[in-house]
Amino acid sequence: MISNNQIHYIVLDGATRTTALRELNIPDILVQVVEYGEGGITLEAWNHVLPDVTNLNILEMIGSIKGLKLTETTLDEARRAVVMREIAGYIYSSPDKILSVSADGDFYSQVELLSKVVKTYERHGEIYRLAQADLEHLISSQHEHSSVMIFPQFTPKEIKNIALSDSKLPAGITRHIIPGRALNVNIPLELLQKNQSIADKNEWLDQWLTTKIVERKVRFYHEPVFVFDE
Amino acid sequence: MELHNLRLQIIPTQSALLHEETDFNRVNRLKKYIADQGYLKILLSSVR
Repeated sequence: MISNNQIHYIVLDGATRTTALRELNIPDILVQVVEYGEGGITLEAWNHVLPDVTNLNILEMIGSIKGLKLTETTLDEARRAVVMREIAGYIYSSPDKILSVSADGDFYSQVELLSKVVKTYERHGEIYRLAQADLEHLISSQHEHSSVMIFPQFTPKEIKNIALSDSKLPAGITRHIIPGRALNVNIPLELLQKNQSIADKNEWLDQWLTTKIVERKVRFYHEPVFVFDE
Repeated sequence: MELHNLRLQIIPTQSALLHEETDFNRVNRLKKYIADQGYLKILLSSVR
């Protein structure tokens, strides 16, 4: 992506690694570059099962966030409003208790609101992540369960806009599924730290990869695989 | 180098933009791991 005449890359997976290396003042990083919106990359959302804390009313705490509006709604209306980005998300407790979460302002105000909401409840217990398919199963089961915070299914365009803005989503609510993900690429950290041009470093990387290929140390699997770490 | 659409590349750290926040404790644990081990099996999936 090019902005302000500079090439930028959006980190689809690896925010913690990027931040750690940035804070360690490592000038360059190794990445796998993919074209966003192509090659079968899909973007899903994780939802959060809220901590089940009997002595604390998590919903009241969320409701006390400045600028946030919690409004009773129906599942159909909540689903419609979140798709239209009229609300930041919604909290599903039971078929009869659904609260929309919203704030006045633009798209980025809603993004910032999500961050505040997650920070409010993550201090009070472990959060379990729930994929969209599991959410549908949970809703259809009608069983008693903890409340679930349901996030929008963001689009790649929205992710790009957020990356270019000062607003950031809460950690770990987006889930990018990237076919052909490279695993166990291990190059010396010293190379990344070296006071050397990017071109020289990439030339070294090309030679390193060529050697791996010649020595038949790169394998491509057509099918999904299970990998057991050493 | 490209191999079956595999594009590994070294880029300036500052050109990598995040769309999500990071957890302070997880970042610090990873920094300590890198400092202790001296390496990281690093792979970031990115988009241009």
